[in-house]
Amino acid sequence: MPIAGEVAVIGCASTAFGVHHDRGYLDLLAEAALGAIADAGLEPGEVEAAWLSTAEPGLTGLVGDAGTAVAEAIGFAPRPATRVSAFCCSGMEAVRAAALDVAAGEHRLVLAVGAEKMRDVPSRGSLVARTANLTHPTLAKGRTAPGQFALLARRYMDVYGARPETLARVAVKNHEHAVRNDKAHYRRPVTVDDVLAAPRVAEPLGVLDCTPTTDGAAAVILAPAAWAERRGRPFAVLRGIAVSVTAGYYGIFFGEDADFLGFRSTREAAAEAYRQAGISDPRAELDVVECHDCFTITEIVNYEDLGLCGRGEGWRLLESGATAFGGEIPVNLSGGLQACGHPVGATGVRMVCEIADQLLGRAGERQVEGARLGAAHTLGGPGVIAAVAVLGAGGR
Amino acid sequence: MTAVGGSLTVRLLDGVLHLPGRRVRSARGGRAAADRDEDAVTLAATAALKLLEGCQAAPRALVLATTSPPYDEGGNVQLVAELAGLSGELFAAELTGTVRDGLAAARIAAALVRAQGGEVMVLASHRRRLRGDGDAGDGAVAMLLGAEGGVASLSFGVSRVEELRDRWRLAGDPVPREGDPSFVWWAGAPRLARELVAEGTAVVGGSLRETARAELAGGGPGDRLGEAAGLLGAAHALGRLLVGLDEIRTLVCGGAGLVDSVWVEAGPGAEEIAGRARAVLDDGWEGEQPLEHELSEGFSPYASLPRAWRERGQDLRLEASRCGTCGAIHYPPPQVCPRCGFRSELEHLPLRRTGTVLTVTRDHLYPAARVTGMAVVELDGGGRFYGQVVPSAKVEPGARVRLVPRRLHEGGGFVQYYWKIAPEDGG
Repeated sequence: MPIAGEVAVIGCASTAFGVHHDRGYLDLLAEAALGAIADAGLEPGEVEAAWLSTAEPGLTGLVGDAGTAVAEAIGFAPRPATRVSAFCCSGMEAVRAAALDVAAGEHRLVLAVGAEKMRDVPSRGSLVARTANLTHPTLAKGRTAPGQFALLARRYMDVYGARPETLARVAVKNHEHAVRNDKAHYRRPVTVDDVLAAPRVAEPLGVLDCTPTTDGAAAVILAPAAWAERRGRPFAVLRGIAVSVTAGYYGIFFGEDADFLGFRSTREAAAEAYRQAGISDPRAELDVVECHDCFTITEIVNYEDLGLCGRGEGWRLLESGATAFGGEIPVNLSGGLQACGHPVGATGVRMVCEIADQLLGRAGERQVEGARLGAAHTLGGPGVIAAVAVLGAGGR
Repeated sequence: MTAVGGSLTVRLLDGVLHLPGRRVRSARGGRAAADRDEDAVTLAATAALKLLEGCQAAPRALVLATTSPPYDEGGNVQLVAELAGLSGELFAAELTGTVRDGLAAARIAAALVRAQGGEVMVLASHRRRLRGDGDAGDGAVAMLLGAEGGVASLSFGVSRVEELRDRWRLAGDPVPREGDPSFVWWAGAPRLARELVAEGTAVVGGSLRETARAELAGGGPGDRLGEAAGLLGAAHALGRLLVGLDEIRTLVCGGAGLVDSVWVEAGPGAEEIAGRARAVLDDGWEGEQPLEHELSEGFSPYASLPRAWRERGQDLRLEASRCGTCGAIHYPPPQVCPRCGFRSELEHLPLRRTGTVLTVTRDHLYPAARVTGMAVVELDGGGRFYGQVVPSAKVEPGARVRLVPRRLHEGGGFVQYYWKIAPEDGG
């Protein structure tokens, strides 16, 4: 049967995101997974299958290279455990794989856990060198993640007239949101001046336009919605989940069709997820959104690609305040990747947890009153793959 | 001395002098200074590409001369041939001994022309060493020789062989050595020039000073190339030939006891070629000597010999593919057309080398340098190129640019060459 409407999120948990020198990859994995299992009111032995999301096992000495890491972390033997790898969409892909598992009727109680330990090696500079070292020469010819989004930022500003101050306001908004999220990596407000004065990373992006390098893990437990319904505990329902792949290893930036103003992957994934969820006007119908703000410019184009506004209007939507806490369509109330950080494999799962918490009324100071429908979005590659999940409040 | 009509005469069909734009002032004068990502291979390839742009040529042989080859063993001419888009059944050889080798390469090319017909390309280049390369500059020359047509006759004349160490470097030594200047002056290339002493004789020796003194004695045309660009190693003799094509009658070049000479008879069209070469001398901008490699520690990029061989088309020749169904141009060539999917038929074609910048950034994170300019270019004729901007330039959206061959990095102990983005006017 299809996933939409049939698969429930019955428990979720997230570690604090930050630099955890006292905890290794398996510690983080265990904390999130066991936390989600407990949140679901289950014992670890009741979980029947696991899907693991880890994007960069090379940073941990290959711990997490296969789903087998789950067995060590939570004593999972002899159950099936599988790693999925889809760049920054790994987390949501693990959720989707777990949902397919449940929807197919293969397993009833399934764990999706994303974990990433990025700070056992010296941070970003070394990570970039490693990536350049390992990457196919056609891509290693100067490509970095911020370097690619910087191309987008420049083009977007040239075409639509947005200014660097506008990009900076994404960081200001999301860092302010994170003050209310005790799990975020960074929890203090920043100003536009702070962002503009920060050291340059790839012009026009500076350090505060970029997500930090962060350790963390997040997990969800999925079960059939009908089963969750009968059980009587609150749950959230996957109303739609979709992944779109629009380019391959060489990415979108070589392609003649790339306009450097947005990502077709996001538009396609959103269209399919909205179709499954029966959404025709996302701005009006969604109550809360988590989207992939790896860089400030990315959140702006995400607004457009997710259908929250028209092409070229993303920066105006931001400036209007509509996407801030208390606004008409709040985005990244958790602080997003900007303030939570981006342990790559964990992010998509963290987002699903955040939306589920909003729908279950558990978001504390970040709570959107009466939230009934939310969406989460990740983008990877960059740009070659995107995933969108729509969740609704389950039966009560 | 025998004049024109000696045993080996060919026609010069075309010739190009290539100098990097930067001129560095030193006590000795000015010299042309390349970017840190240029070497004798990229300079020679750039000269070859400029020559091929200007004339339809399908040379059957290629002879390269340089005393600063990146590879001491393993060959350099293969790289130049690929970067220049030369292909098919091609005979290629390289001479790497002395400054005389530019003329020797031309003589060998002439012999090939006479023996098997067709056209032969001669390339010579120099990349100054970090130490011990005194008055050397960076640059390259490309010439096309054939049996008929063209703008001048070149007749190779007297040549000599003697064991004479004037300037040398033993294998494994990084720094060249030079003999006592008064001995070198007395015994070296200028000795032959003194014997010739005729008007219109250009002399190239191991140093600019030798060269200048010999010419002073013989009433030669003066070394404008040396004054503007420095001594271009094995490319200097051929460079002077082009710059003075309409006024040089004999050219003598000697290095370490190997001496060669050529007689020049210029015809219609020679002045134009000389004029273009002289314009290159003037077309420079003042700058500081660029830092050498700025690689950060631990940057050791993935390298694979089979991959490099398999993908040399896309890496070195900028081979793209065009979809026979929808006409889209894709680079690197994909397995199937991203637009048409499996309905496509893909044919290979080289990307055009000029285009317009779509968007840019300056990346402070990429570990190969402190700052790396990156840009996406919409190429004339279709297709996109996304890559590095040359270290000496900044480009903005809308700028006209061209793709130039450069040294990318070394991984696995061999050099990866690729293309970078430079302002179209070389500014």
